[in-house]
Amino acid sequence: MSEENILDIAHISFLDMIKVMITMSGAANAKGTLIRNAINTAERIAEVDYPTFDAYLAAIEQATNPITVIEGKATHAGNFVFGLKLCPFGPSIKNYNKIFEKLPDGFADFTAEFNKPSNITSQYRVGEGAGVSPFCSVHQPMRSAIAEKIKIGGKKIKVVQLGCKSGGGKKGFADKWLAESGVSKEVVDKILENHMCCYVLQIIS
Amino acid sequence: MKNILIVDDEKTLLASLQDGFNDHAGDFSIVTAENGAKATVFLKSTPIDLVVTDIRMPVMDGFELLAYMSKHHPDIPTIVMTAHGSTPDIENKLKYFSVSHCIQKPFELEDLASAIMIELKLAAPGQTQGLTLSDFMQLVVSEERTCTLSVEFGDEKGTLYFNQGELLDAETGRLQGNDAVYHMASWSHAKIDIAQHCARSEKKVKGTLTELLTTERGHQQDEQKKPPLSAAAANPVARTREPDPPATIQLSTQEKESHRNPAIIKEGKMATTREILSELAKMQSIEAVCLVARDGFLLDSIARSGIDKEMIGAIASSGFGASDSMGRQLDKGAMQISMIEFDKGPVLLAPIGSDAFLVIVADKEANLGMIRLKLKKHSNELALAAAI
Repeated sequence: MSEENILDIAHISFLDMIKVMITMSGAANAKGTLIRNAINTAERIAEVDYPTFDAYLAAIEQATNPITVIEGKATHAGNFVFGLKLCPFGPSIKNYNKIFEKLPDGFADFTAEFNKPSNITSQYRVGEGAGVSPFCSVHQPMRSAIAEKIKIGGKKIKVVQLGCKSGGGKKGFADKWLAESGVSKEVVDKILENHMCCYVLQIIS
Repeated sequence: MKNILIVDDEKTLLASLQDGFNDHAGDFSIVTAENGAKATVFLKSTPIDLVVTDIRMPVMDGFELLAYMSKHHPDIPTIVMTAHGSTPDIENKLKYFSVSHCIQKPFELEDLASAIMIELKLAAPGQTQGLTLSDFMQLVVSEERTCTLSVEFGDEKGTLYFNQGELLDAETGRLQGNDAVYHMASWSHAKIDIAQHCARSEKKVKGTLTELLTTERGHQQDEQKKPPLSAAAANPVARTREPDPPATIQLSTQEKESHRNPAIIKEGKMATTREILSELAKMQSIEAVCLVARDGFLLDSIARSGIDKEMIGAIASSGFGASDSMGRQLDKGAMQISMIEFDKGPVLLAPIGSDAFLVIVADKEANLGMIRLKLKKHSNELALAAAI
């Protein structure tokens, strides 16, 4: 038996726990619980102020940038638009699918719930079509909440989710945030050809 | 001591109410009349604080009595007793009717007592308290009446035509049909004359009355151009951005004024979520009233200081979700109210629209009957106000 076939029970338990949460108290409550958890995690990250945008990018390369620490290295595609090569939940999903062939029941409902307009997803500029799995409800708000801990040249920044791609290759676009940010869907679509996640960074003056 | 006039042609019911309300002798006294005509005699000769009336009576029925009161005693609050079999159709027709203004027979004595106590508590001297025109119209629909209503509101006059409970036509000034209904729906307390025939045969109003009134409420909300939710709702996780909680649940003078009339449409304006929450928070022994999205994030709330409202939202979301899921698993249909009793008082959860729920935290002195009545009365209004 190769090591690849060994079950990562931490991952499996997490995925199954989401299923239990959905069954026990509904997709909306499960979504809220995961988002609150993600925000609480972000609140524990120390604040940082980079003198310039180049310094911010350098911190990504050095893997010291707080966002990089939770999701890995993102690629700057220009105009503050970033693409993330690998989904941080990719290994979990791969591991689960290898053993059980498909993700637990109820995940589709959960994803639809995350994409529904809500105050919390609006506050963090996530969802609205950019969710392709329940894990997006952890990853996207956590990244946006961590961004609130980061400044560039003394100015606050904001991360706006633009799109995401599932392991099966299905792309999801946040039309509302695309329109608001002015980034074209074509640009995001192109980035998602080679990346799993796409967002734009805004420096708030 | 408050005087309550109960009008009904069932003598046995009147006798049982007089006996049953002995327990409330310290709160109010009862006088009775067998029809509307006898009720008007009482109204002319005796100070009456509240009228509870049946609709179907000989000599002078409930509609005629209500119309009489709209002109001669608009300051007396009213509770209407209806005697329908509780069919889904009738329930649907009554869905938007203010619960505290309407109680369906047969009812428990304590339910009527609670409704009376609520109305007496909310009533303010000198203010118009009776049925609104919207309430009156919905009662005509629910009773499937054929009639023509002639209505006066200030300098304006209008006419509404009903055939067997169906609104056929309306006119006021240059407005006709739906536009006239939209306009008149905001006439909170008008003078009403009722003729027991319908002077129209062709239906010119499109849609049912309930649909029209719901649409009108939406129009009013749009016109106000208010954000649907409070500022707190925009930042539901940021405690520092939440408005400071009041030290105790005490309403400002302005809030008190706006809450004396329990009708949702007041002077043509729709109540905000904050106003409705304040109305609920006014009840005795209430510690917190929170409107929460089903994901557990707070939309708006009023709570005593020291209560972590965001914690309430997050935790109550689990309780609400669990109750809702249990109902579905047991094939019990949609959830209405969930109540958990603790040593120090109850917590009630009730759905608001499809995306939110209300949490009421009370102490052990709370009047559960009154809370349930208020919840029923305000849940639809709250959903409309919050656009959820």
